[in-house]
This record gives sequence, C-alpha cells and structure tokens, in this order.
Amino acid sequence: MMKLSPEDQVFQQEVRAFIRSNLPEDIKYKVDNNLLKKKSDFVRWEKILYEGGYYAGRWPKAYGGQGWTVMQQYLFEQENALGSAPFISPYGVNMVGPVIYTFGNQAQQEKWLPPTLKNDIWWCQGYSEPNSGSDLASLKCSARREGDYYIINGTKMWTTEAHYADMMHILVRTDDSGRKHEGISFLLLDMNEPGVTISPIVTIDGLHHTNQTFFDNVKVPVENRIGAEGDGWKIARFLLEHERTAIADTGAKVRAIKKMRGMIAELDAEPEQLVLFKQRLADLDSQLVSVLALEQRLVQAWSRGESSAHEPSALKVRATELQQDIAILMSDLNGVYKGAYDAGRIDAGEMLNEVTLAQQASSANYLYLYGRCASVYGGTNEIQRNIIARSVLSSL
Amino acid sequence: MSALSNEDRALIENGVDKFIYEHYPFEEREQRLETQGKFGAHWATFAELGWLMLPFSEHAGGMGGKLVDAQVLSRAFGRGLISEPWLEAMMAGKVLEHCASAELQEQWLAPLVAGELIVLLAHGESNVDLDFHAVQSRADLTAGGYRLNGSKRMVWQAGAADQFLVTAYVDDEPAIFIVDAKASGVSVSEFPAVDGRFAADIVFTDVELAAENLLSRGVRAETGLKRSVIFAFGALVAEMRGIADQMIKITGEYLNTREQFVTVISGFQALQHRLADMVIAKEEIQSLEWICAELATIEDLAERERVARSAKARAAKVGRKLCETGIQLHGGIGLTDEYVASYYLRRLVAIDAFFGDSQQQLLWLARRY
Repeated sequence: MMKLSPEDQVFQQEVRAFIRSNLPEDIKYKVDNNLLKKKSDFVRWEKILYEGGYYAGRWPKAYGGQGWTVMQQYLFEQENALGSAPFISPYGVNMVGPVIYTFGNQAQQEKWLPPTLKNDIWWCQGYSEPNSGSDLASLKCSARREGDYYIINGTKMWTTEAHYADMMHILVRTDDSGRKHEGISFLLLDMNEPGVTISPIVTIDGLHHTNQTFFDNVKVPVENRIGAEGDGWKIARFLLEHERTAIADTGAKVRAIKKMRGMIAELDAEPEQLVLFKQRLADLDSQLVSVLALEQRLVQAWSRGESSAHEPSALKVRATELQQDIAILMSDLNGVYKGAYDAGRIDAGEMLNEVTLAQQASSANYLYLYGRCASVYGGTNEIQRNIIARSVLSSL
Repeated sequence: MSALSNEDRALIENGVDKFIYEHYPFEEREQRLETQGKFGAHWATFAELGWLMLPFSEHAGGMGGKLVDAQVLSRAFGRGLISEPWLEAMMAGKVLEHCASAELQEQWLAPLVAGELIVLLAHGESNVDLDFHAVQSRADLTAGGYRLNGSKRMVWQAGAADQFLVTAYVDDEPAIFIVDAKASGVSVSEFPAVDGRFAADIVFTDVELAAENLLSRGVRAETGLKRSVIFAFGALVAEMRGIADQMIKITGEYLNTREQFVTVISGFQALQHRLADMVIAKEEIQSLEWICAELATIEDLAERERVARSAKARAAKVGRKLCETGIQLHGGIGLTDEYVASYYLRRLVAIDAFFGDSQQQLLWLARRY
C-alpha cells in the first residue's frame, strides 16, 4: 500500500520470489485452508528461511541475524503471510533471542543463540499464571536459590506449544519481600527436567494449542538466569514491546479478504444475497485499508526511530476486532453448512483433492472460534484500552 | 389458549430443571458422550415426562400445550445443552400435526409423541428456508407409489432418525413424504457440527415409496412446513433466553470472585458496563421470546412469520454478542473447552445457522418493503 524506496522494493521482490519457490506445498495448503499447523510445519519452514538468509531479520549480524531495518522486517512479515507461509512462531526468534543478545552474557549468547537461529530448540513462554493474567506482576511461581541452582515450584498458565518445547523462558519470583514488580527474575528452563508436568488445555476450537505447566522442585542452573536477580520485569517489558511489527498480522487478513472474494465468486446464492455478502466484504475491506494504514504509519514512525505511546494498543484492538469480523463473514459464506465444524479435519490437515462444503465451513469456523482468543491473549483488549486511556489522560 | 394452566407449567418447569440438574451437569459432558452416545440416553424419560406430547393438540394425542409451554422446556434445554434431538423431532411432529390425515397421524405422530419412533425433517438443499423455493428433490409416480430422488444438506441430528419427513416436488406440486431412514437408496453421511452435535447430508437415490408415504401435498404441505419452522423459531428464541440467563449468571459470578490488581474485578466499571450490555441483550431476547408465544395462537400466519423471522434473527445476533462478551469477560478460562461458556457461544452459532441465518431472515424482511 505505502510507497517503498527502491531498495525496499527490491527486498520485497526478493522475499516474494524466495517464498514462492521454497514454501513446501503441504504447508502452503494448510495455511490456505486454515488448518492447524504442527511443530514440524513451523520448524521445516523456519529452517528453510534460515538457510535462505531470511530468518532472524532484526537480529544484528554479529549474532547471526540479518540486520534488517524495521521496514524490511515488516515487509518480510507481509510477504510471508501473503505467500501463504505460516507465521513465524515468536517464542524463540522474536522473543527470547533478542532478550539473550541484549541482556545475556557472552557464554549465554554462545550457548543459546545458534540453536535458536537454527530451530534446533523450540521455545515456549512461561508468563501468565492461574491468578496472574492481566495482573502479570502478581506472579507467584517461585525460584528458591540452592547453591548453583534455582528450585522452581509453581505453575504457568497458557503455555502455548509447551508440548512442542525443549526450553521455556520463564518469569519467576526470586523475592517476595518488596514491591511486586521487583523480585521477578527471567530464567531459561529445560522442559525435560524432572518435575515438569505439561497438562493440555483444549480450547474453544476443540484443539490443543496451549497448556498449563506445573513445576515440582525443578532445577534450573543459576547460569540460566538472564540479567540480574530482580531484572525479570524489565526484561519482560522489553520482550513484549520489542516485536511490534507483527501485532496486527495484516498479511493474513489481506489473504482472508482475497479468499472470500474467491468464495463469493463461486457462491451458489441468489443475486440479492450476493450483493449483501459483497457489501459486507467491502466493509471489511475498507476496515482493512484503515488497519493497514494505521500499521504502516506506525512502521514508518518506528523506522524514523520514533517511539509510540498508545498507538500499538489501538492497532492491536482494531486488528483483532477485524480478524473476528472477517471470520464471521467467512463462516456465513458457507450457507446451509455454516454450522458444520469438524475439528478432526482441522487437526489432521491432510491435502485433499476435493474439499467438501462442510470441510470448507470447518476451516472458517476454526478461524472464528480460535479467533475469539485474539482479544484475550497478548494483553486483553480491555487492558489495551486501559493503556490507551492512561496514556492519553496523562499526556494532557 | 394453552390447555395447560400456570400450575401445570410450573410443574413442568420444576421437572425439567431437576432433570437438567441431575442428568446434564456440564462437567460430565465427555463421559456422557462416551456412555450415552451422540443423541443422549433419555428419550424414554422425555416421553415419560410428557415432553414429547407437550406441544401437540389433544386430538393428535398431545397435551394441548402451546409454544409458551414448549418454551419452558427450550429454556432448560438451552441451559443444559442437551444432546437429544427434541426440537428437531418436535418440528417433524408439527409438520405431521398440520399436514397429515388423522390416519397417518395415528401411524406416525402417535409413536413419535410416545417416544417409540424418532422422526426428523429433512428439508434443506442449496438453501434452507420456511418454504419450498430451494427444493429440487423429486418424487415421480410409479405403479405402486413414488420414486424419490434428491439430496438434503446439513440435516441436524439426522443420525438419530428412524424416519425422515422429506420435502420434494411431485410434478409441480410441493409435497412431503415419510421415508424410512433404513430404506434402500437412502444414504446418510454424518459430520460434526459447531455446537458439538452432529448433522448429515442425506442422498435419496431411486427410493421406492408406497402411495401412503405421501403425507401431504400442495398448499397444505407448504403451510405445514412453514408453521413448523415458525414454531421452532419461537422455541429457539426461548433456548437462547435460557443460554443468556446462564451466561449472565456465570459471568457475574466470575467477575465477583476473580481477583486481579488486588481487587475483585467486578469493581471495574468498564467490566460492569459490558455485563450490563449482556443484560440489555437478555431483556431483548426475553421480550422476543414472549412476543413469539403471545402471537403463537393468532390466525394471521403472515404476521407470525414476520415476527418469528425477525425475532430469530435479532435474538441470534444479540445472543451471539452476549456470549462473546461473556467469554471475553472470563478471559482465558472462558476460551477453554472444559468450561461451559464457549459451548453456549457454539450453540448460538448453530442456532443462527439453523433454517436460515440472520442475513437470510433480514433479506426476507427487506423484500417485503
């Protein structure tokens, strides 16, 4: 949408061509048909990107990254989604990686960055707890120092893809005497240690994405602490604010609008129904133009080195609301089958020569059902509105 | 007027509430599906307690109840998320009551209300509505009766049926046939639905039918179908009311107990207002439930159709929003499969899809302007 510099245009074309010629067909099929992507799909694609020099774009070259600009990172994410590739699983490359090269010591960088780049480690994130969601700083999972180890006891909630994970970056309480934001530390925990129990949580879509993870006297070497004791909150804030170019996931929305144009073109419906559907699609399309414009305005500001206040929260709220509305229309386009939902089909994700209308409806309903999570995770939309109000009121 | 008194209705309400409490605790859902199957295990109880005869005329072997009585059951079934194909069977029963001869009613409606036979309506094709406009199934005359060909899409709870009521054309005339689900040439392919229930596509290939399998034809068949769906819409609005009541209850309880930032979150005005929006939606749905029952006994079928379509579209729209809000106010826990909230949303989506979604109902209304 926005005008690009000649260099950025070249970059965009290169990324597009790379994705087109390297994305495995079975993975593209899952993305195009809204089917559940598994660990092997993510790892396979991210290894291809790494080999091709399109991975860890924002990491400095010194640490094995590409040293991209914010704009290049944004263009990559757009092209990755538009080319029907899976989104980049963020927990390693986009979350813990930058934490380690920013706050870690040299030994930690040498140990953890190379396998993270090569996707030989699957990371998950241990932040929320049953009683610490929106109020994350109240977390209780404890780390007791015993010689060269921390002994971890407690539980983490919404540990997405923990069942895939080799390692967890975890926020723990090393001190509960002072203010709640203090006394939190950031550790790297081996998921294969004795005492780690992963309990699956099936979500509204009937599928297994996330878990509750329990820790019963789990040992973490002190050398796996990033930063000083008590730096956890500062690091968590850095991490949550670091990766902002992906918050709106607009590429996937552009793809969804395009898919719906195709669905409408093939729809067996009365002319007046078609007009109603087209009108609804046009409304979503105009919302998308607006969300893209907001996103690109921010990306340009970040490219100029400007920081932003409440704007990312506004973008997150609008983007998730749009995502949820897109899913409703996509479901409605399935006519008498719009009530069909076969979670087994979504989970299995096989390539079929012909997709039945009930299966097509299942894919749309998967987007709708799992999409309900989007206004809760990553800071609920209510919390985003708190941030917006506080930011604006305090600046007056 | 219903043949039932307010006292009768209160008794039914106590009975069904007790039944849901005892037999449909949400926490036992998985186990229940395993031991009781897709369509529940209580059909005999439904018959015993009179729930299958409730909305039919005494003449047809029913209790002489009206929509207002059926709504008592629907509300509770909505809360309990039952598996039994009660509403679908009642729709077939309504078609039989309105269309079929006394003899055929004796043959099919009597065993239906006695719980001996499950009859379901198979009507939807490329579209599903209150009329025959999308019906392309055909029954051709043969020496002994008819030969049926056609396919029906997304028939809810179809796997539970012993018999189907099938809409089809005979020459240029709409007709309704009764077809044995096990008859030669009937193939049922089942798939799961968004609410955790099941639906199926049914293909009829050269199904040989006797002359007495024709239940009704012409205007009588069309009107019977329409009246059945209007009845169902009134019951579904009541089901949404039951869901709305329960969603508000569990959401309010959650807000009153969940603590974040060292306080119960029900103290936050932003959340109070969203709960208030849920209550406003519930008041709308409850009013639509009432007006559907109020109009159920008037003669003017066109007015009843207008109100029923409007009520179903509106209740599904605000009901879905109500459920989405309730889940959002729960945060993560509301989005898990082991908690009831998401099942209410899933059921709302299914209700919206049933016999024409909100857009389709509004288009019907728009065409009359």
